[in-house]
Amino acid sequence: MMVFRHVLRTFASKKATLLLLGIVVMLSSFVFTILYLGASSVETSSEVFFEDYIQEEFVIETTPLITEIERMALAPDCPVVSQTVFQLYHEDKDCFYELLDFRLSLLEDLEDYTLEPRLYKDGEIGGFEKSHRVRVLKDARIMNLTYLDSGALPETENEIAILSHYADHNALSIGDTLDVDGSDYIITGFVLFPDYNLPVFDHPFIFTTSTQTLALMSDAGFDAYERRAGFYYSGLFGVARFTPEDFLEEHADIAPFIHHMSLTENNMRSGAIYAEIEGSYAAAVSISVLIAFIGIVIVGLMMKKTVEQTQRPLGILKALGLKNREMMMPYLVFITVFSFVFLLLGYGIGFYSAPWMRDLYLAFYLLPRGPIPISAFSFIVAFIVPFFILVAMSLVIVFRLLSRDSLTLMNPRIELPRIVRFRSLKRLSKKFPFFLRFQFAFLSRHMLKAFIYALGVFFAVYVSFLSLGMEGVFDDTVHAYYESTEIVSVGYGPTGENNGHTRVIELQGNLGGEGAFVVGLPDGQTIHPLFDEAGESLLGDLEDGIVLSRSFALISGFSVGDNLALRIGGVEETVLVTGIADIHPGEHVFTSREYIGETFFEDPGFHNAVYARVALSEDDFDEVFVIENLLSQVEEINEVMMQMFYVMIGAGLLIGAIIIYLLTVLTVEDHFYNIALFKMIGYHDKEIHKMLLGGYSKLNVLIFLLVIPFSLMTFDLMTTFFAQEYNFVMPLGLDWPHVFLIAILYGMIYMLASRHAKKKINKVSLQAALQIYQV
Amino acid sequence: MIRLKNVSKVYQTGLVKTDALKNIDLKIEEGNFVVILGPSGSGKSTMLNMMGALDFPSEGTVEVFGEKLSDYPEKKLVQFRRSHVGFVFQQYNLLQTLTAAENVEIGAHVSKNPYAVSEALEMVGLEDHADKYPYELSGGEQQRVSIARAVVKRPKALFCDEPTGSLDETVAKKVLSVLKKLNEKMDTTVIVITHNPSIAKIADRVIRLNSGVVAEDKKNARPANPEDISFGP
Repeated sequence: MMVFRHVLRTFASKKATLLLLGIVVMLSSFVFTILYLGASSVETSSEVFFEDYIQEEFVIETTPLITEIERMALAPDCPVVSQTVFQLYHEDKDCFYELLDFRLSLLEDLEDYTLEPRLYKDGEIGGFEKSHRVRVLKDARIMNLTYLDSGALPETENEIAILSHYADHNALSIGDTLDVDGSDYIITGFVLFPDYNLPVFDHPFIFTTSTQTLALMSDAGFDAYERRAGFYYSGLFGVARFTPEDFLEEHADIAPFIHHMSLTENNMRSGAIYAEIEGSYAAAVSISVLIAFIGIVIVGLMMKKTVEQTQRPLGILKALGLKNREMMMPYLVFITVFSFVFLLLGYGIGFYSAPWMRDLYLAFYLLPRGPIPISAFSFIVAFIVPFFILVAMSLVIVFRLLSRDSLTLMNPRIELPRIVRFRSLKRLSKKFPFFLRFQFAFLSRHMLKAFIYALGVFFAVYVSFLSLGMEGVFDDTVHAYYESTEIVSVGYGPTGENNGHTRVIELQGNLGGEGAFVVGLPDGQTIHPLFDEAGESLLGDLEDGIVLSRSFALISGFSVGDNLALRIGGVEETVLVTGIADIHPGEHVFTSREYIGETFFEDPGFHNAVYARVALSEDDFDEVFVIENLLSQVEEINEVMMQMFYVMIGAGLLIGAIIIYLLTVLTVEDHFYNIALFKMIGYHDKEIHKMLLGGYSKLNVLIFLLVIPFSLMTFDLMTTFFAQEYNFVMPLGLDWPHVFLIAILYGMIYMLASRHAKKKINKVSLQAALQIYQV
Repeated sequence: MIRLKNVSKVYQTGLVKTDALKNIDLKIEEGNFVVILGPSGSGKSTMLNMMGALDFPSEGTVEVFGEKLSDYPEKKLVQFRRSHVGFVFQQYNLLQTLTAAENVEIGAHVSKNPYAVSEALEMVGLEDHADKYPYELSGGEQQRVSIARAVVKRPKALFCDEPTGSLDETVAKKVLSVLKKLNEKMDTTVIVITHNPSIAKIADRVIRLNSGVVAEDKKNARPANPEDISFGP
């Protein structure tokens, strides 16, 4: 009992340190639990959903232009005069479906697979202050089947089923009326589609569920809904799978209308969820392992120090006949209770917060909401493993220290450091001024402690940079692009009178095997400038070739000087990449409108859209696209994303701050003998702190400065990796204000921690300190 | 001169008061080699700490080399220790991660006019061990490094608290020889506290403390050479 009281009193004097340490231990369990359970809830429900509702395995996109062979093939029944399939849909729906079937039959002969056209129409929802948009999908029969969340499927022409996400945001219920492009539709139910679990970045239909929804109408309702129809072919592989590259290479000549093929698993529209879930698992494990590692090391250090500080009385008790087991027990009971409480707390908070994490995923991925699974694995990893590691490590430390004989315990000796000798470093350091030399000596000869400290600081700063680096990435990609132009609205379809607007070409095409959004800009236009990274205009380069957006360059890996095949509507031309524009609108390729018109349409004046500096009227075009609305959607997405990022930023800063605080306090306490010795020799407090803490201050600065290039490098690698693997451009950035913010914040924490530690040191009498440690 | 006037020191632990020193009056001339003898708890270390500006008296005044330490705030005491005194302890108190030369350099840095580190190591006969770490040196060698660290700043006085307490007789004599040499050649006042009466033979003056009071204060007419003394009974 006496030993218990003694140990409790010792730990009671370390309340603040223990609490902070407990938070680190708790966070390691919490981070893993929330990320793992959140992701696995989405994964479980997604897998069932995708399988039961037959998610497409790939998508084939075709040109919106009607090719020559199609005109010839359709000629007997449908003498086609339209240039695009959209125009054809307006003019003659039967011919449009005949064209779709013609393409389908040609495609079906190419490989052993199953295809189904996926038709959609984009429109406006009325009755709201802001612009609300809808993408109506035609019900599929073979794959991408409609999932009915609640209610019933629409059967009549004036019925509609929408997303429950959108309904929740806008207080809509089943039975309510929805104004779609001026016509009233009755909401019959809430639906989801397996191919559209992530329409967020399917530019230009950028998706926020507060102002946009996917919808299903009856087949008759879909045909009666007078909007421009878009389509692509969804597919399921037969026996053999093939790559998009092989597919295009083999069949582009036979079916010249093929633009692009992409696999669902690495397609942002349908497959990003897999990457997200994998990424979440990886993040859960790596972040929590790193936090746990640091937590375990600090717990170990603290246990060692606590036992060392109390070994004199323990030596006396041992001399009086107490057994090792009796002396170890209170420490083990303490660490068991400590680890149990904080790990369980972390697991519990993680478990109860997992639905929040799941719902954050579901704000983007339009998937059914599944329950949070009870996972033995997550409990083992988040609680049992770290619990046993903490207890076992403490047991080893305490056993090692207390197994010494009673005399050694009563007269503790300083443990001799294992000095790693770096002769060249030592020689180099001889040229340093006095304080710098000794700061260097204290760090380099306590290599392990310095390494753990440096690792902790590195992790803390990097996590903070990464969290802050994500701020506004989604906003930046589209926002920055449109801010660089003077476009207020875009009109598609018949361009009518010129009215001073800029006539452009916007077309889906294929560049070097990659699906591309080709933009033809007329000579002399000023509404859409193009600048490279250095701020130099690239408009002049359009005369000699094509300019890629940075996001497309990242996704494709193409660079300036590459000669690539540009395919539009069955015609293929080799073009030279002359520049990379510093914008991230999507997979954009810019070139001269006159060149596109002449080369691909034999008409230098060809255009299919206008860019305007004013808001265009919906009456004059098939579709009008208002930039302001788009940007407000992007901002909304950003706001939702920022919720997640703020949690990451907060957790990153909290962990970083605690690590720096604890490591600084422990490190200064560690030098307490040295401090007393310096005092005795006649060093002033300032000199002592300079000598012992100065090294850590410089190490902090050094690590901080190292993290900057490391972050820039890894952020670039991450951006390129996501772009090339998942067609997902997330330009992580390191803003200088963030760097200064973190520097000031951590500088303050470091000062606070060292001040606290210095105070503790100053309370110790120098004679007492010198007598405690004997060599 | 070191002067203690009516010095008393009372330690209070909880409700218990302990008189470590009682009304001590003492003068020590500069350049003397003084041994303070006494059993454990006689107040030797307390007296040394006060003369060395490590501790304050509860009553009375302590004046060392013309500076009234008993009136000084902590900052001035640090300045005094920095300028005038060196310490040698039984436990050597070396920094384990610094080499012998670096330990000595730590002592040199606080002085305006220090000896060269190599010179200080030469004085204690360790010039060939400059780059060794403490754990690579014997106990006697470590104690000599500690002496070199204390003398490198050219202190006026060297306060040694049981400097040979952890050493065997042969090594202890070597250490005492070094102290004696410093006293004679550099004119440094050396005050050694010990419970070993044999060491008293090498001193100019021997002060015996008992229960916090000066029990005996005598001068040696012919101090012995450290090599000639014997620690035996």
